[in-house]
Amino acid sequence: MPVVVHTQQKHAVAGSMQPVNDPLQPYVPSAEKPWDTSRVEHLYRRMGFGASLAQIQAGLAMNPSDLIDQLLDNAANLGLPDPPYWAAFTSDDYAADPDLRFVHRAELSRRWLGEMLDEGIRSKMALFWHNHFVTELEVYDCNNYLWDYFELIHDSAFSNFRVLTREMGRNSAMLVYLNGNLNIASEPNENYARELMELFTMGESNGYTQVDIVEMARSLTGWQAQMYECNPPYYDANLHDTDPKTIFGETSNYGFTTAHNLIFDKRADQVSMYITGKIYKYFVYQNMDSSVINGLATTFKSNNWEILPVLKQLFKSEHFFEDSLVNAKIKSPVESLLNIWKSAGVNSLQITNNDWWDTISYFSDQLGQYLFNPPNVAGWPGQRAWINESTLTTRWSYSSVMAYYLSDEQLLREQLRDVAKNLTNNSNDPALITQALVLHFLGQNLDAIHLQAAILNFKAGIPENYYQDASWTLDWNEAPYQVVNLLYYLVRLPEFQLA
Amino acid sequence: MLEKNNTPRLGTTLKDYLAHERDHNLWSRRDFLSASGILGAGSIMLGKMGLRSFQPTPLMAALANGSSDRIVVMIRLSGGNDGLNTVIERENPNYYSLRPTIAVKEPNLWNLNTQFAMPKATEALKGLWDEGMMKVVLNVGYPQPNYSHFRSYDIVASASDSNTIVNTGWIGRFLENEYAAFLETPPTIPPALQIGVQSDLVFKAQNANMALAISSPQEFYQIAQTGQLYETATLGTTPRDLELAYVRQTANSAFRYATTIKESYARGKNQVDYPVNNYLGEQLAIVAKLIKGNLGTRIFMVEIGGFDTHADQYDAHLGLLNEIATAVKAFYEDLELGNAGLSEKVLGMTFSEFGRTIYENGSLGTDHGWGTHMLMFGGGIGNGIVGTYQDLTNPDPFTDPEFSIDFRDVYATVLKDWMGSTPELVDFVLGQSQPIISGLVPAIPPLLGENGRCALLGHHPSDQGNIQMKYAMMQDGNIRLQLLDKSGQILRTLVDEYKAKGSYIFNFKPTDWFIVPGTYQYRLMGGGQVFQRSIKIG
Repeated sequence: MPVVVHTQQKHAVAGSMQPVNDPLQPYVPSAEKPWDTSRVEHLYRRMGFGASLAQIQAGLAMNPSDLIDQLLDNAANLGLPDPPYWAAFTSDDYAADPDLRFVHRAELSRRWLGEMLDEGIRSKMALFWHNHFVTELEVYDCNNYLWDYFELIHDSAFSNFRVLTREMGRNSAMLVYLNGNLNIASEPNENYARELMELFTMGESNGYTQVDIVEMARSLTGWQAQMYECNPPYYDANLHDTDPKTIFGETSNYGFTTAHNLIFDKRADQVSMYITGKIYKYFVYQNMDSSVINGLATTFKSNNWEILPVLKQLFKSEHFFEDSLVNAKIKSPVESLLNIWKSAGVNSLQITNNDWWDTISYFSDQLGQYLFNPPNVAGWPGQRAWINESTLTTRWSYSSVMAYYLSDEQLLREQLRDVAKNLTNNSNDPALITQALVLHFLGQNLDAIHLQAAILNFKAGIPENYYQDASWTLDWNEAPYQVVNLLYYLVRLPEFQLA
Repeated sequence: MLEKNNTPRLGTTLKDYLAHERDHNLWSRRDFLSASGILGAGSIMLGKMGLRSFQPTPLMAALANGSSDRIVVMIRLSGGNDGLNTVIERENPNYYSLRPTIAVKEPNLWNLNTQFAMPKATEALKGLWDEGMMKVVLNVGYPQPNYSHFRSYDIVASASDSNTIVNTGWIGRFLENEYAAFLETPPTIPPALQIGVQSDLVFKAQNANMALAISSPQEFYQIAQTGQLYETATLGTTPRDLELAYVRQTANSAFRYATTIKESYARGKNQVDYPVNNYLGEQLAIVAKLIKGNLGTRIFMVEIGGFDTHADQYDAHLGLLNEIATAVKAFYEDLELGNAGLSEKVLGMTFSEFGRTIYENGSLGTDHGWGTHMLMFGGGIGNGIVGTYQDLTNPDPFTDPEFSIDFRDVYATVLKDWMGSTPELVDFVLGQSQPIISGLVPAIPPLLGENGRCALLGHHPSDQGNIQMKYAMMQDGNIRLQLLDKSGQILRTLVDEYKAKGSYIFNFKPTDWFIVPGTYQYRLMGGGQVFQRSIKIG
């Protein structure tokens, strides 16, 4: 991916909405900013991968604060994903059939994509952690480590960041990926300690020195994972450095937990600003609003590193619903692929053909988002880095395939028909239907020229006279195909890449 | 040669609702995945590496300006045009008895000759006819007619047999050979340009859609005037606008044809007033401007709908014919006011998925039928009527009179005589050797220069995972056929020798060459030309 440098300079609009009002004060629906379909769509697209019509209607019936509480509390209470039967498989278990490893990985990819479709914010948050505490499956190459990691980013999706950080330090996948397993008293390896400070907690060159890194590495020694055997990780006290270490200018005989605690106790400002800034970039926009970050960081600290209060404050805020920030995120590949299905009301149980899921994995990979394998420890940069001439035109093709799948099964076709009917009270006016579908699938309206073209695409293939004499209705067999035809047009519009 | 079917053709009338639904349901099998044509081929992904090349090689530029500068403008009449009310056999009593209400009668006719006439609504064409710029091909169809709009259009577009499904179009296959390395070195002009919403099967080649498809004239104006697919000037500085501008700019820069379209649209001038409230006229005005502005695109397609006239057709159908006649008249007048001889380089031809029943139905309309007439236009093509009119004697309500000319004969004639294609290529494009309708259009000989010495005709699987690769030599010469990996690395040289003029098939057995299953490319080089295609093995 080409490196896209974003200016950190704040532009006029973000600046103008500052002071006087606290941007984090809760959004209260008003005549100027009503709680309407497009704001509910906005919330669902940012908190997940889009929304079905039923979800939107349910959302409209609640007030924003209650809806956000419900979505987040439900997600936080989902419980751990059920382990697959291979969750503890070691290399020995795969000895007889090494290819089986790849079958199981594909299984988990399908499962995660299915979750994204069904669960919204929980899987989106897991994806956030995957892109924060990066590991690459192609490096650690153990399926049970993959499961440990997958479970951890789900378990901790909404829990305590301090706990999550500590657990990540002894997670099997991470131990291998950043060489924690090579970090022993006699030969400290500072790889993990460096990224722990630079990428995982404080931010680059933000309150630590090279000495702190080396001393942190020494403090973390002793955790082991054997990647060739794929055995479970364990702590070997004999490999731990028991001599005194000096971190942030304080000297003690730090161990794994106490060293981690030090980061949160001594560098709370850096950690809280860095992490809430990353959350902001992921859910709101790449250019940060400093007053918002300050407020979120305060919340983060005062809630003892609990993540849920930060998310609630952010999603409920006036700032989150600023018009200028709606549709300002560029969809990641999985978002762009799943969004079409989500808007069509598809759930994972309806997609019984594994090839379809595997196709999404492949597409996502080709578009630059190979799940479980970010490009490097810094993760996917996101936003504009997703889009260049090649990936954009490829997105058009792949999104068209996603739309095509909707036309390929009777059940899904009927679902599309129902979406069109429910959106328009079963209208038989193709212009009105197109307009409603555009708003639903694109999350925004189009200018006159492109709306007109969209209508033509929806009407295509049906001789004009059937519209003129009003004999055409959404009950025609063609109707779902017409919706798909419209989708082929919509996914090629630049607006489709935004969420 | 044909078995006539004596059962009612379910699905051909609107009243037969469920069956009509089933008929229309065949739409679902259509190939929606073909690219928009706008950019589908603009960049191809090879593994994780995006391969893009937006500059034509000198070779491609030569090809683009290649064999002839003749142009074809296809006018698609969607819905199945009623041929019998388009060209009328004046003194055939059966016409009037079969169509007691909807027949077009004197004095509402103008005469083509003593036998045939057209409705007065089309009198704008009389000048073209009198000046020798118009021909009629009577009763065009194909064996074993299919009465579904969608399937029948696919047959006409792909030029397949009625019972064979072919996923490429006849123009697509033709252009794929004209633009041999379309994907690898895309041209800066669209090989074909279509104004219409659905990316048309006609233009689909094996690996790409060769046409730039633009939904509507309005969308086209914006592109032609700004030189961009999407405008960015009106976007502001809010986060949303900044990001939208970024995506739009990326789409714009991927749009290869922007400059050439903008320039030729600005260069070309419409010098006549086109009829108002005439959608076809609006489209043809754009085509005239692009032709006069020397865009270089040789195939255009415009479309007019509404021909599925199951009910109350008289006025509606004549209205459509009037739109065609006045638009075509203005189009050729406009061309004649351009460079000398320009109208002689532009062949216009109407086509439709099928004709309609010879009898009128109970709703004062006509249902789906078999053959229909084609109209052809162009300076210097002469006037005349080719083929045999529908046999209107002894009509059986459940069968149509047989067609007289296979639409593929017309295609073959256009490709060979009008476009100057070699017989080998024409046979390949149409899948078999079709008779040429001698004298239908002024013939030019195939131009065999640096760019016409060989042609890669494609590949198809034979038995047991083997693949037949077909190519033709237009003259004796050296030829080389090679297999490459996805990144363009040469893996095997399959053929490297001097060959005599003629068509060849190379039987490629991957196992003999130690080639494992996967996606590869193969390349034909000869006479200064390079053809390259992707190929799936295994």
